[in-house]
Amino acid sequence: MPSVRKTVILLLILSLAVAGLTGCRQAPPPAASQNGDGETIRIAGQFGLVYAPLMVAKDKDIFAKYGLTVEWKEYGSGGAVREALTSGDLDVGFMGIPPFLIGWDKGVPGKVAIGFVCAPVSLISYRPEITAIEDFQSDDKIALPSPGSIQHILLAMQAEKVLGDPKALDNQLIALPHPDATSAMLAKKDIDAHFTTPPYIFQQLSEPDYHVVLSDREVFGNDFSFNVGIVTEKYHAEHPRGYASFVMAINEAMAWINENPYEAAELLAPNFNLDAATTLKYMTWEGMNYTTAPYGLLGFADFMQEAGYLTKVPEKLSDIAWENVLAIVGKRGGTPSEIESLQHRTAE
Amino acid sequence: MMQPKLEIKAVVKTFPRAEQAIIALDDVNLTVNDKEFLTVIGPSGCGKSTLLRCIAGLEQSDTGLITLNGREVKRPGPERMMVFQGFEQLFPWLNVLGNITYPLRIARRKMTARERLKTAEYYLNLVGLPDAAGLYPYQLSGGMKQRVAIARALSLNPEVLLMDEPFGSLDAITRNALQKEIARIWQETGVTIVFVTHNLEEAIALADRIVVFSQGKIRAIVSNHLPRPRSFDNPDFGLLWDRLHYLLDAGAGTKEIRIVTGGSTAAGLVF
Amino acid sequence: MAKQNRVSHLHQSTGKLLRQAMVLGALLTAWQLTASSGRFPELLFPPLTKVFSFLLAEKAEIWQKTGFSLSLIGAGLSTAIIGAFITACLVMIFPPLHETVMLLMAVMHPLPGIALLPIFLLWFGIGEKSIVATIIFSAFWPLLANIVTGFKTVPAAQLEVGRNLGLRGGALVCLVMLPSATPHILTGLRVGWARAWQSSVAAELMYGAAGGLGGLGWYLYKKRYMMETAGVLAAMLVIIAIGILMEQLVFNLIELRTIRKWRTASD
Repeated sequence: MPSVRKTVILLLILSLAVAGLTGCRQAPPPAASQNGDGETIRIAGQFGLVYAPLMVAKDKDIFAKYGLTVEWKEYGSGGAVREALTSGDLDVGFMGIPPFLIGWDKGVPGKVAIGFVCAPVSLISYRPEITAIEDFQSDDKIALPSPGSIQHILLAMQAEKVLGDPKALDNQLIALPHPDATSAMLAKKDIDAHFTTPPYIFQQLSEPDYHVVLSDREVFGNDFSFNVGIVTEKYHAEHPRGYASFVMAINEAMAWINENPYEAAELLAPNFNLDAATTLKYMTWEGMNYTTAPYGLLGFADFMQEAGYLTKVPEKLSDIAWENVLAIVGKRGGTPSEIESLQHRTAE
Repeated sequence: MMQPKLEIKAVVKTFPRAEQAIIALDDVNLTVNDKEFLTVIGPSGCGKSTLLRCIAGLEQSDTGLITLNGREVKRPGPERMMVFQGFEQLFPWLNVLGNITYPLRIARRKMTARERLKTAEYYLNLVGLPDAAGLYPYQLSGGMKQRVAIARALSLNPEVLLMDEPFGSLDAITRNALQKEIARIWQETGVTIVFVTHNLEEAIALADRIVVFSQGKIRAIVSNHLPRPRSFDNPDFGLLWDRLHYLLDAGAGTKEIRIVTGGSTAAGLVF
Repeated sequence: MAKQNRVSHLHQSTGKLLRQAMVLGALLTAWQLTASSGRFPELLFPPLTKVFSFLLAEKAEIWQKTGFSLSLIGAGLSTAIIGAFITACLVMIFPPLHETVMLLMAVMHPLPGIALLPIFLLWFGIGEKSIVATIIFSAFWPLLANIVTGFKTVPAAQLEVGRNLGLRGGALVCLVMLPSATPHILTGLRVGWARAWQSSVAAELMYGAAGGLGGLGWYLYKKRYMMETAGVLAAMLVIIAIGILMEQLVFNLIELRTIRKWRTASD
């Protein structure tokens, strides 16, 4: 009967496909450039006040000074950046510590190469009766960028502390990009609160009625890196000079921002559609810190494991960070140094 | 004198076309008597189907009047049920029984389900399909389909049964059988029938009067007194056939003509 | 004669089901072999065993989210069906409407519902209403197109029989055109369902939670951000399973009871 024959042929094709898949190897990443001098690196281009050092490095072409050619890549979301690091499509991506830990837990092959920006992260609402997260009713909606984001984890930490269950507010979450959530907040439509970051925090807080319901300090106790730069194991192993060039370039960009705030504001203002004065105000807001020193690298892990977001925690810093980061933190004989303690959470 | 069943008075129907309008019905006048079997013959495209459709109300005449039992009829209605030529006139989503009871539900709302069932069974018997109730149209032969269509039309107890070349798509043998059937049914029920065909034998076998139609006009009306059941053996059959054939060929003359044939002697031909 | 048909039909359907099961089994085996070969990291290509254990572990949440998604689709699809029927009836009863509707359809039909989601979000806000609007939009046009085609291809003889019985306008449409158009309506329902299902999941994937609990799309979204590839695949399996169930249990059954019974469509 013809239908049996068709099925057999289909099965044959399938087995060939399986054989092909199990036999093929992953394509090797693009090699270093031909002349022994310069290296290439693939960075996810990200945009915003909290990526200022990257934008400065790109605009002033600081990478070239260190002989580094950058291939810039665009992705739609933080999740996509993580996926690209996993599939070998990307060498460097920036993300928050909790999303990085989730990826690390699941086997994303990368580690922290630099601290990046410390920034205030706050839960804001326009409803006067909401002053703390205990005030939320079950139909109040809270917007944040995505599940597993730093905002989500901070909220969960506070929920565990005051409501007893880290997932207590999970059913009220709406995943929205910052601009959309800000529009909704300013229109007072659809969402009641927004866990957000600069500059959206500043935009919302400059309106009357908008107030902070929960601040990162309240939850975490000390500063933490809002985002960090992740470099894949493969790139780190195969391109030591490229890695070093990248780290130096970012360092230089950061130093320049901190030493030349006015020029930095002027350089970046057009990208944000703001005037230079407002940009400067935002960049120097209380709590904004452009630094490659890491903060809070280990402070999220224990909580995340207890709450079920991670299956394992880093035992030591070298599990999740490369050498230059380890060097910044150091290892004090006797009691840990301040900077070592600052990798953990002080609020309990 | 009894009121005629159907009266068609001065009916004109034209179909607009690009270059020149086609006059399908050109001042047609006709009466149909109660219980009579009238056939309309003519070549293809002569307008006979259009006439039938105007009676049925499926087409509207431009001018003129059509009355049924003295009252004007314009819109279609179940009192003038039509049986079509094609095999697609049965509803494919209903079985044979359903094809009869469903129209009954639509047109005779006061009937109960049991009455509908009885009626359907009666007419299925009448058309010679007592066992076909559960079959679906796709399971029926052409002849069976036409029988069902006839049963459906009759079950609605129409004032007049209109048949538009109903056996035209059938093979000769089935056609023959159904001609005998319709003659028998007509005699049993006494329903008035207007039957359109281009087949002369069929017309002669079935009709009381034969209307010769061509180019939108009635050319002649021929009374048919052949005794029933009719057969080819009767020499008058052949004579009538010749007359009709001649009239069809001539296609001329506008006066209504009566040709009487009877018995075995030749009768006069009046022009 | 009918009984013989039924028996041979049963044989045919069993044979077909067996063949489908064979192909499915082969695909799943291929998957498991590829995953366990170790060529790909587990993150990219989790083994089936992990996917299934995931399904079992989270079955309560998956069940709940599936129910939510289906409820949204139920609301959206039924609205689209009713709307499409009414519009198709009106188009047949009032010929001038036909041109306008056909023009609208030419413009709207190629648009995926997802493309309109941002607009719906502006109009209806963030939440279930926008998702349901997307579902309605996605399902409405193929439904309308198929129903109208069905109506227009009713054989003229059947329409004339209907008119002969005294039926006009809406009654003619409902009593004659509708049953006659069943094959096309069934096709429209199949396509409408598929588009509704796809657009509901896609909309949630694009814009996070639909309502407080969210549906399968939201589940997929969460799993993605938690990098639980096995969870993503588990959700996909559920989506596929529902599609298959809908087809076998609902559409196939309708088809058997109607157009296969009447032999009005070619097999």
